[in-house]
Amino acid sequence: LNVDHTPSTADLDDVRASLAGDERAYERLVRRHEQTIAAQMWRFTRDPVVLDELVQEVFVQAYLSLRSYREKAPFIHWLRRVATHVGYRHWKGCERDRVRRERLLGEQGPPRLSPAPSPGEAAEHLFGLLGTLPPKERLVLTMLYFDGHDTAEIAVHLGWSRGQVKIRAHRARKKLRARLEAAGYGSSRHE
Amino acid sequence: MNDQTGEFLARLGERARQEIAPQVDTSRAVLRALESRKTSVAPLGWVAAAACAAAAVALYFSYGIIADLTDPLGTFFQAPGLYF
Repeated sequence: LNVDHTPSTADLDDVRASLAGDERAYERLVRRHEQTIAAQMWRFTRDPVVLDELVQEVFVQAYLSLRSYREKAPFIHWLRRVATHVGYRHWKGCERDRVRRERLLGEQGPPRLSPAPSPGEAAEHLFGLLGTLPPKERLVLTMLYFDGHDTAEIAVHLGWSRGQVKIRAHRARKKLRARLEAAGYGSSRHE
Repeated sequence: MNDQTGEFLARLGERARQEIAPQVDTSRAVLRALESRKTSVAPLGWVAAAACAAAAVALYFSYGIIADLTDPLGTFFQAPGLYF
């Protein structure tokens, strides 16, 4: 997480130049932040082609609403919020896939996880498990466990109260636990 | 039980965060997408303006029809420009 709350001079200069119509300045902003945004969007898809599209959409949307960036916090903080909206919209568009995954989880149970999974396997497994939840619940658990944010950070990021974050996370975990157990994935197998 | 699920997710997440996301190179595509939006916005503006003009004309004429139906004697809509 970026704990520095001061906007960087380079970002501010490029944002102002972009608003004045300088395309090169916006290209510099994209190049500076695209890997950070790609890492964030990798929580919203596991398909590299879709990842490219999502990252592109984040920067298009950011450009179109660039005037709403108030320059009080770092540009990347604002950009991450735009990215979350784009990712969330993507999930909402994939609801049919989610229902299908949920059915698969019910029929076969989640795929087995090796005792010492590689980071890629762990990410794939976590993505699959959270992908069975509705988008709002999926988002809160993704930010909590996948991104490693705490509830206060999530509340600021999503514009919810901290209580709302805790309640939604609790409900989402409960729902997920019930599904894991229904699929024969008892607490002992969480190990 | 809910705590166990949380602990399980936390451990999985900690491991998952070590994964490196694929590299992307989107700056050219972003600029192209913005350029195509700019070119598609101009005709849309003309279409919107034409639609507004058509709606205004339709409203103007339908107003006369409505006035005829609701006020056949023309006693209410007598202000110049309102009833014709």
